[in-house]
Amino acid sequence: MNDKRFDRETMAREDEAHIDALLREARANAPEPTAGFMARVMDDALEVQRGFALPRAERQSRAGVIETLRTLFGGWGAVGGLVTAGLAGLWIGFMGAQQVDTVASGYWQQSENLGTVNLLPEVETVAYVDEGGF
Amino acid sequence: MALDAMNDSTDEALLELYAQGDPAAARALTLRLGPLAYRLALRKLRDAAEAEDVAQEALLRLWKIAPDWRAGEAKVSTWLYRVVSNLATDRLRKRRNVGLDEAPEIADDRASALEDLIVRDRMAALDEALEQLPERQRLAVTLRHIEGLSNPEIAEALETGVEAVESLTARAKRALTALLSGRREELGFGDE
Repeated sequence: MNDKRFDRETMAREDEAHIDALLREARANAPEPTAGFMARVMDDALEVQRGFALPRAERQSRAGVIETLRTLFGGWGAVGGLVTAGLAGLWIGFMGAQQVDTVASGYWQQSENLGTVNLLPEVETVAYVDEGGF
Repeated sequence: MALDAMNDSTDEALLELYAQGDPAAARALTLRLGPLAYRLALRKLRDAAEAEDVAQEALLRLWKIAPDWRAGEAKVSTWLYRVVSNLATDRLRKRRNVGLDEAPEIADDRASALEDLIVRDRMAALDEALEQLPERQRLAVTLRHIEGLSNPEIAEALETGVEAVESLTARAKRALTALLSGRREELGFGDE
C-alpha cells in the first residue's frame, strides 16, 4: 500500500519535472519573427520618431497657453466663474436692461428692502491709521 | 546612448529616450519588444503572417503614444500584452468561420535533423495541451514560464492579484501534467 503511494508520488514529481523541462525548452525554442517583420517595425519606429519634433512643440505651445490662462485666473474654478459671468453678460446684452430688472424683481420680490454690505473700511478708519492710531 | 549600453535600461527608460528622439532607443526597443509582441500574437492567432501584422500594429501604437507615456503608471510589456491581446481577439472574431485545422502551419525553416523533429513534436504536444487550458491559466503559465514575465507583471496584464497569478500558474501546470502524462514515451521523456 505504502509502495503504491510512493510510486504515485514519485511519478507525480517526475511528471512535474517533465512539464518544467518542456516549458524551459519552449522558452529556448520560442519562435522568432522574420527579418522582414523586424525591419518593418524598425522603419515604423524611426518614421514616427521623426514626426515628434514639430507636432510635439505645437502641442506643448498650445498646452502652455491654456495652462498660463488657468494660472492667471487662479484655477479652473475661477475660469468657470468667468465663463458664467461672460454668459450672463451676453444674456443681459441680448435681453436688455429692462428685462433684467423685471426678472430680478420677480426673483427678489421686494428688492428695495435688501441691505448692503460695505466691504471697504470706512474713510475715517483709514485716516486714523494713517495718523498713527491703533 | 550606444545600443550596448541600453541592455540594462528598462523598457520605460528606453521609451523615454525614444520619445526624446534617440534613434538607438528605437532600435533597442524594436529588438526587445518586436519578438515579444510577435510571440504573444502567434500564441493566440496560430498564424505567422497575421501575428506579424498584429504585432506591428501594436508596436506602431506604442511608438505613437511614447511622448505621452507616463512613467510609473504601467509597464511597457504589460501594456503591449494587452494591446496585442485585444488586436488578436479582434482578428479571431473576424475569422471565426475558419476552423483550427485550416490555420496555416507556423513557418519553420530550420534544418530537419532528427533532434529538431523531436523538439518540434514536443513543442506541438505542449501547444496542443496549452490550447486545452482555460484562457487565463494558459496566459499565466505562458507569460511566466515561456515569456519570462514576473508575477507582478502578469498580475498587471491580467488585471488581477499576484496570489491569483500564482494559483493560475499552479493549476495550469497540474492540468498540463494530467494532459501530457500519458505521452511520456512519445515526448522523449520515457528513458529518464
